[in-house]
Amino acid sequence: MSAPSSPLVEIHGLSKHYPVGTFRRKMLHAVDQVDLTIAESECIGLVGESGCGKSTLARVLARLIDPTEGGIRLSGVEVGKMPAKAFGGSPLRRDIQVVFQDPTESLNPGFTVFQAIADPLKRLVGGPGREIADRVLAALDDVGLPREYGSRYPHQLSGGQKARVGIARAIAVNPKLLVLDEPTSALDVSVQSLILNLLSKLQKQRNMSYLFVSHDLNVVRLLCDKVAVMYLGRIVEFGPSKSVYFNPRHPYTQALIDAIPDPERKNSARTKLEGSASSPIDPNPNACRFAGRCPVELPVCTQAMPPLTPGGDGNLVACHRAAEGDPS
Amino acid sequence: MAETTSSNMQASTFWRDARHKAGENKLTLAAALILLLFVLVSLLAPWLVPYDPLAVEPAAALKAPSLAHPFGTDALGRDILSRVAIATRLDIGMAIGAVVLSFVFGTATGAIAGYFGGWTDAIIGRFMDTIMAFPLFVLAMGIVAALGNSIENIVLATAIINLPFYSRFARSEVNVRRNMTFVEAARMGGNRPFRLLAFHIVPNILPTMMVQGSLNLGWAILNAAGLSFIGLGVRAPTPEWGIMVSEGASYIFSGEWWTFVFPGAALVITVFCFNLIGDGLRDIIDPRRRT
Amino acid sequence: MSVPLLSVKNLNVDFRTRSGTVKVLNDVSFSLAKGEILGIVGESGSGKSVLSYALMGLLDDNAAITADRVEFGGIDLAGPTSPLASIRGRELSMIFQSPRTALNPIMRVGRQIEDVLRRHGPVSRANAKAAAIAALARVRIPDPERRYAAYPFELSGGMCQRVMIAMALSCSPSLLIADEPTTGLDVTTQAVVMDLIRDLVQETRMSAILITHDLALAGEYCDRIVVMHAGHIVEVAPASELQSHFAHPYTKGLFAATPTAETELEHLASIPGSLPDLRGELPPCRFLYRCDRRQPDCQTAPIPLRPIGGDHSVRCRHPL
Repeated sequence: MSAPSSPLVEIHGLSKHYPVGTFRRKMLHAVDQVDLTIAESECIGLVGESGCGKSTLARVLARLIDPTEGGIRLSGVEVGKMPAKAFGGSPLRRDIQVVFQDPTESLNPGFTVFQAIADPLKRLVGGPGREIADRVLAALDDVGLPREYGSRYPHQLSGGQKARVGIARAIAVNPKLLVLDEPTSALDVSVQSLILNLLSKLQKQRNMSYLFVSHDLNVVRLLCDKVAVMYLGRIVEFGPSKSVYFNPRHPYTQALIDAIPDPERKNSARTKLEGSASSPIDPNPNACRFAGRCPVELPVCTQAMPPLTPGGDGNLVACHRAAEGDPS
Repeated sequence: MAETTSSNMQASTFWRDARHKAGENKLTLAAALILLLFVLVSLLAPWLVPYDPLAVEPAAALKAPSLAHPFGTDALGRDILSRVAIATRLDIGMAIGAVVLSFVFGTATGAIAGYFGGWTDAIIGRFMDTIMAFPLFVLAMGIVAALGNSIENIVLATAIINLPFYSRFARSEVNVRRNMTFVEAARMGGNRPFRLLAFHIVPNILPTMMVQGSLNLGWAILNAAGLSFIGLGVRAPTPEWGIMVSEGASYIFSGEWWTFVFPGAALVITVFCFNLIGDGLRDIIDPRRRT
Repeated sequence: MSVPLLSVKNLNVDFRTRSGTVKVLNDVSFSLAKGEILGIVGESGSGKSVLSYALMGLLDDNAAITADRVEFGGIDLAGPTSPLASIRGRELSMIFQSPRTALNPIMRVGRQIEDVLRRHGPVSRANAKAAAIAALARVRIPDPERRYAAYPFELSGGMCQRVMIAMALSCSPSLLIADEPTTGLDVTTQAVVMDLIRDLVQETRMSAILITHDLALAGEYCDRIVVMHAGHIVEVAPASELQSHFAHPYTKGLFAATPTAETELEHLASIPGSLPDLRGELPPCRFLYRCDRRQPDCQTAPIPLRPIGGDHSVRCRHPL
């Protein structure tokens, strides 16, 4: 590889708002002012709980839906401004592929494994049938499925096998960026470890970048170089995954890590996060989204939105208290 | 790595299910066999019937069932057995023709409405609502008045009246699947909306649509027969069950029961069998059976 | 040694299906003491949910249940005169996965709690509302008077689960069975719900059975853990003992596959093979074809659940 060139993906000021309410006058801020960079061959994790916007962000990046504002540059080319339908028809479509969460739902029950993998190849890569067949078989080999499975239907496969087919289908067209939307959360833990190892191997083999969306910080730490923590549509912390996991600076990240079940901890206290997240509809632009739930809130938290500032170690944190250098 | 499929339990094929279901439900099997017999009759009748169904023989009019005429003769001396047998082709043909027409157009419009939503859905929906506002006979009479009194137009009327049934069903089936991730995956794979609909979604809904279709066949036969009964479409001397029942109805009180009972029975049995098959098909295809 | 609250011996469950008889549970034996939280851990297909349904008598007619003994508080639940129907919901209560779907979507939650209260207890119509609000407060739902009138879709997943817990506990049962209560919930919500269950159990000396696929969750909240594989109990031990001295190769595999703070991707192992087909001929050890420690004598005769010291039992001829 040559000297570090411009990053593969640059997301700048990305927002996705949905009009809601009677007369559609209120706006639901699913994703708000997100900046994110993904380098080549880099794996970035996106973590957060339900409603944080990570799935929406993943879908906007994958150009399944259009952003409300902001830009997405893929290899230097601005792709955020063109409508999703136009992107779908352009040759750029093959550069970003998605592995979906539920392996059962993401496979057409009427397609054989072979047909499922061949379809995107026919649409996006083209070429004579022989070549397509070769690529399908190569994809099956890469994900560790026997070639005979090509003639099977999804209901004849186990959960882990279906997950592999979903991965094979996504990588067959040789994308530069693979967006993985909770690919292992529907799988048993033993199958999950197989799939995670497979994903790691494939990434190195094919030089792909990953955006790995998950609610499971443990899993993200294993696979990803860097992780972004989202809360109510905004990134609240970003940094190398080990650093974020073992030395979290944002109180929400700390609560998230604290909540992971730990057999060693039995019966001792933990910082509990009561209540639920505040509303994503027309949120106050001059207050931290975590205010009201934050265990270490300061008065300034309800007066100004904390920006993402470097916190040392290459971390970025959006927190007034962390910015003060006050470890909680 | 040896990963045997743990879903062996659900790897049943359509035919294994069909055989099992047929075995489980003797009635469905019987219905299937009877229908098969009827189809054979409709195909071979012209060569098998003992008498010319149109041959008029006034001397032999209104004879009760006998060895010579197992179903008796009608008011013009025509053999009822031959007429019932020949009519099989027409009746079943009209039903299938109407169902196929409304199936194809209904599925297409419903799928488009269900996928695209918005104005497309609204317009198609209102169109279907308009059709549903008409009783069959009124619509049929309108079509006949406009286009002429022929069998084709009766089939058309029956097809139109059934259109909303398929359209709504297809619409809701497509709606459910529209947001499923396999559709998103197909979009990722570069499929444009119409391709998506035609090759990914619609094939998926076809099994359940076909069940609806088979359940609808019985009703379509009754529609066609009913229209003929009131004089639309089929006209004398063409043998057709509905028209034969109509002609025979005049003899209810005078006692020549065979003139309407046999064609009526043919209708009843056919409709009954179509419905049983439809139920059986539904049981086989019902996804809940797969777990 | 006090009398156990629940005692199960040699419970077997077979499902009669189109494709054969599925031997879902075989020789399941365990006991549960008063005030204890027992974890039942296993992957999908291990039979853990079927076990809970069998105990509650919620299985379909095509399930053939046999047992040497199923005794709850001294009452025999397995025999033909089983009073299961009358004690279910009152003495023996259950909460399920996906709380929002377990609640009636078109009925306000307060009304649903009242229904349970009035069915099982001497609560009059006048007192029902107050009792329902008290039940909501007990599960730490903020603003219970307002939430009383809410529909399930207006509540978050965590709150719906708390409503379920309120309904399950409304008659002060002696045993609460929680079948994957936090699967699908956010991890922070999971912590709150599990803490609540643990606190309530400790307050009322109720016993609980926690069914989960999450080893770490069981490790943190349970006193003892039962590990299941393909319808067999393969290991039973106190939680801390299991963590440090697991004895069954399957348990070892489970731990090796579960990511913790210390593991790296290279350390993450998986268990080879997959669940055996429970319809066919099964070897005495259902883990046989996935086990790297198998010996000829693993195939000869049924393997009993044998104690190996303390409260620790394992079903293996060659435990670790």
